[in-house]
Amino acid sequence: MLKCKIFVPYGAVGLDCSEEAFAAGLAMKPDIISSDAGSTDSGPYYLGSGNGKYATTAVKRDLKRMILGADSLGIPMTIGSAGTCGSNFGVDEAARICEEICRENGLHKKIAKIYAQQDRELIKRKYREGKVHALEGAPEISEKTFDECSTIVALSGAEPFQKALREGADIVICGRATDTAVIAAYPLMKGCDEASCWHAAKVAECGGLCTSAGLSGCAFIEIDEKGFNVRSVMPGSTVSEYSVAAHLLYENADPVYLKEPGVCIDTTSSKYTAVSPTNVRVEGTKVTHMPYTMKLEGAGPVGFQTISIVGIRDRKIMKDPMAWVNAVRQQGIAKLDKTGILSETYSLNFKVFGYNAVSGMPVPEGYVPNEIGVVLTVTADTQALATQVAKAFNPLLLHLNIFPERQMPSFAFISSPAEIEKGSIYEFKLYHVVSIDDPLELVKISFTEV
Amino acid sequence: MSKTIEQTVRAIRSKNAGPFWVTIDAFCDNAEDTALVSASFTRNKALIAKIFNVRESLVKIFTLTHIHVVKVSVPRIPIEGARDEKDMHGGQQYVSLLDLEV
Repeated sequence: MLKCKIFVPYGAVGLDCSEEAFAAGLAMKPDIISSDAGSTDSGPYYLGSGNGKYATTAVKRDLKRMILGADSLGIPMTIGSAGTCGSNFGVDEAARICEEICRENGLHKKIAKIYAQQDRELIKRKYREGKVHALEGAPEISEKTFDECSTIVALSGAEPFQKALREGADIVICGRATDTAVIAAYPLMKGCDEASCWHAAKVAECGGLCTSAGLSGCAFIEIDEKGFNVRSVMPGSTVSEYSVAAHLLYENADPVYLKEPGVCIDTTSSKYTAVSPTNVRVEGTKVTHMPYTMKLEGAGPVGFQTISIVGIRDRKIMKDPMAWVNAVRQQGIAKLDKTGILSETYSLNFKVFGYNAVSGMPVPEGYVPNEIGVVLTVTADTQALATQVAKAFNPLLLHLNIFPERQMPSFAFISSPAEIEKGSIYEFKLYHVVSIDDPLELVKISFTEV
Repeated sequence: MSKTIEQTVRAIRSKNAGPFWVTIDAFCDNAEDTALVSASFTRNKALIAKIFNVRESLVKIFTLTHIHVVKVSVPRIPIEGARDEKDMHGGQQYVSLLDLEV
């Protein structure tokens, strides 16, 4: 009977897993090792700048484990969304690390690089042709929006991975891809049940998170012509109908339907059955074919920020922290105005931690904090201006006295200089899909041998 | 006196669902509590829309009876990582629903 076994060691390449679990996963004799490496969850900086979230040493550790593991079994491996955001730089950097690992270990491998970063003129043309469609909750966009993006990526489906594997790649490194495509590609190519391939991939995409071991514990899926099994990997860990079914909730707005390039997966009638404490069987998931689309992600720079952080324990201020914060704001703006720096040229944000920084809501009546941390964030078109504005606020954050009867107080800065330059900041600009006829149209695949 | 969401659920969490949506998962112990939480969210849909500053028609409530979970998904306004972001991963957004009565 047809069966594909896929070992998913990591929630993301760079996040690590337990050595014990990894060894156990290899001992289960997978046909392929696959792992996602990306996310938009940590904010727009990564996509906007093209950089990755995890330290190069952490990525290398995880890739080395995968490469040596796959080599020991003579099987291929796939990585999706290289470098967190899946930019071309992320692909090249992951490929460079893989080549380094191969050389250091005397391995000869065929590496496929799948580039998913987009040429903005080409995407603009698709937009003009009416082929770019907003997803629910998307911002209004115009042609100009594409110019505002420093990086645009399209999320690969399964097909580019399959092309790379068919052409004999041992190591497939893809730019931005859906979390599931990197895992579903191989079993789909082998002819396993289509709905099960996607559903299983969704369950396993965070590695061990669908098991009792959590992120570090790895995941193992077995897909056949009728359904799939999810098996726990870490010795002593378990999976349950609940842990498998509940994973569809995670970071997912719709827990029932899963939309992927060219397909929609319906889990309404999925049946979860525990085969053993370490093995859950899933059947009954359905698939509908849809016109082929790829999701677009885009982010671009929106200015520079400088922050200053000051702590306050003063008991009189604690009785009404916002009176002090508002006085700082007003006096700072007035002071800058006098020097010719108008308030339209920068933006200020005060977060009062210990008070309402996270909620932004009014506090319960009578609430008096023990101490607060005030974070001033200045945003401007240049770093120099953001810092100049923050510097103007420095003496106020340090000394502003709002009680005339008292002598000048000093508050608690946490750094010297007090101003911390954050560099360029970015925002997400796109929440759209692009219609295409050929799943390979927007990706470029190249091969290298090491 | 009726109970609150906080007093009814076994666990509750929130997280971004992509940069443009935030999703809240309320885990219950049994079918009865699941129904109560689902009814509370549904009854308070307008209030939830107001809390998250979104149109009521965009507040999505999913009741998953097989795992005793009620999920609420709303557009994320402002979007993840916007200039003055207060909660990058959306992980603290669930707290706004704890005091709703069931």
